[in-house]
Amino acid sequence: MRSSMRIITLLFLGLTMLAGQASAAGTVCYKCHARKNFRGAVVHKPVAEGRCNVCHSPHVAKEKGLLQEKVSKLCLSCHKLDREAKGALVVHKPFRNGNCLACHDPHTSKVKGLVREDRPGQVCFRCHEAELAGKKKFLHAPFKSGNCVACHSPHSSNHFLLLREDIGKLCSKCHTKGQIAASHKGFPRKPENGCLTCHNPHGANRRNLIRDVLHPPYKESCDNCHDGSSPVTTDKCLECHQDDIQKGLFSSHNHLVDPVNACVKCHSPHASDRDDLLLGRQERVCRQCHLDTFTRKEDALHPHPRDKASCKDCHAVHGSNQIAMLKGDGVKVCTRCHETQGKFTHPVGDKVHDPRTGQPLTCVSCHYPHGTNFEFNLKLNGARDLCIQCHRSY
Amino acid sequence: MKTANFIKRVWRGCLFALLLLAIAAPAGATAWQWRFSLKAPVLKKDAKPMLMPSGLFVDQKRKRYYVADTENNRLLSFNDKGEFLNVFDANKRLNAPYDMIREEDGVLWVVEAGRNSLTRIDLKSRKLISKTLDWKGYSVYPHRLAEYDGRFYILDKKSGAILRYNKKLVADKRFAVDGFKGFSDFKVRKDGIWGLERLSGRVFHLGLKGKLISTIIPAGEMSFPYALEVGPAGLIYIADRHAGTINVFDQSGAFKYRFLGSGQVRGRTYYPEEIMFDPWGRLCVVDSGNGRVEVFSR
Repeated sequence: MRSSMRIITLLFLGLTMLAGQASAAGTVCYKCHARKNFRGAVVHKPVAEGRCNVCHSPHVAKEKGLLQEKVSKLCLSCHKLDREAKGALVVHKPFRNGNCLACHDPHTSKVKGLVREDRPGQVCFRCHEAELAGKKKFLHAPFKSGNCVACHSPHSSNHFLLLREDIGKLCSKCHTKGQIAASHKGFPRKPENGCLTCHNPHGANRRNLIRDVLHPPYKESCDNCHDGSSPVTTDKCLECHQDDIQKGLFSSHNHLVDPVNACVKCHSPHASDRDDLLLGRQERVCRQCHLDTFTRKEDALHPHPRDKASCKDCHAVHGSNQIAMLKGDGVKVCTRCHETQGKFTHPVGDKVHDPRTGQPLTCVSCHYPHGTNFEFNLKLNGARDLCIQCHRSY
Repeated sequence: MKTANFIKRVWRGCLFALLLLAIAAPAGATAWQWRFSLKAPVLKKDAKPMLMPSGLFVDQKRKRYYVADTENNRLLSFNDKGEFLNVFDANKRLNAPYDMIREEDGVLWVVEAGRNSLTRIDLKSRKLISKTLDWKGYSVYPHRLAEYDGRFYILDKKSGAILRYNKKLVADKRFAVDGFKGFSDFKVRKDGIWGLERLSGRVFHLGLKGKLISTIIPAGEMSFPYALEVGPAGLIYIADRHAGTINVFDQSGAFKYRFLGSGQVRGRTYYPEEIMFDPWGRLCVVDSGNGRVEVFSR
């Protein structure tokens, strides 16, 4: 009896001390850090409990802001989001890079989820400015209200564009199957998964969010391409477009990459916001399949190109006999922008052979065109490691 | 005394077994040794190195390697020691040869990407006939070519399906899987067709009558799985085009090991295009970006 009383007393004392310590930590901090800065509609739980020392070290720390650990590690120690992101098809870049504070305020916010900025969606538009359809006549309701997370998952997803579901399923959450069927009467095929081939999910100048540029045969009649309910094949597209793209397709490396219709992997057969009827911005279209290339570029310390150049600037997107479907060899493509380097630099060209392979030496013999962790996008450290691969005697 | 001897023997046996294990354990991962490279000689003034080689054919009987040197529009032959023998360009009539096979009677069948054809070249009569293929009225874009049991198996780049043709180039069978993304490479074996699905890296095993036998989902990340080989022991070899690696899996999809990597020096590849075991058990990697075929053996 006595011993159990002792245990209860000790437990009580211990808990009281812990609670005292926690609130004391908060109280001490607020002597210098104005308390009003830590009040808001939404307050991070440790802040609300005055437990500043959960994240901050009061005396010394390696990390900026006297943080106990790196931001990402610290956040993930409570928020186990990394588990769901592991193996996900798409991981949002700030989350991948552990830059939680790009979107979240660690103390207080006006918005649920401790999202920075005053309104939902505003934080997304800071980077995704191009998505702002401000000048469009008609806006999709979730987009208008800044409710980006209605359709997009902000951390990771197994669906393209960080969508929460396959596009068909996602749209049918609000737009019922009955509504969709009623508004697509007489269509040759059920518009199950192809919503985006006609509609812009953010905004458009036409009613029903139909995109601005219409494919002429679609404008005229569905029957121009569709024959009953059977799928429209690549051959059908080539009936009109053979001349302009045949050269690309008759190459050792081409983009015939879909069992039914390769063209619609990149182009919309109906409507688009672009004259070339692409499904979105060039890099967005390419990213669908070449996710690894984009991830490598984004994660590189020295990415290339730094500006928003189009993939099409260097790659022949329908096909070519060059490596990686380049428009020319590893010198021609680069010297379009890097003119001087093609004329006077390390010798390159057909007459200079790479001793490692016997191949003509080109820019890509030493540089990796999407970027690396080495200066000038070199494949290895240019101070020594790269050069001695060929210049062994040095 | 007897017991002490017995313990000694057991102890020695254990040590020997441990030694064997130590040798054998990393063998899977490290035993591949570079043997030689198939490369075009560049000693003569007008000689050109191979540019973007894409396809390899091995003639067991004649002990020859044949390489489709795609960007130079020619075919090269080498002996089984890797020594260069000859160059053939059909009087400059080849257009981006991508893959090839050589029949016993000296007839070459070449996939010409630049013509989108399967081209028959009779070396004796010096006749060259290019034919554009079709499947039930749809155009075919030949990519990989294999011969098995007197028939051609051709990977159609457009549909991603494998089509079977007789020697008169009449198609009789299509190999595909419901809802798949298309094959990027395949191999024909006695037990059926093994196809690598584009991008996903899934391997489908189909019977020679077209029935799906099994699906292998490789465990382990790959950037851009592109080429496939099925080893003599049934292991699955997948070349990752972007990472430059060869990834090895068992038939349950379990990852065994990977070797090589991206780069230019020996032991590195740059955009590997095809992998193939030759009849002598050597693994050949068509290292397209480095303009060579690397031959490895255990």
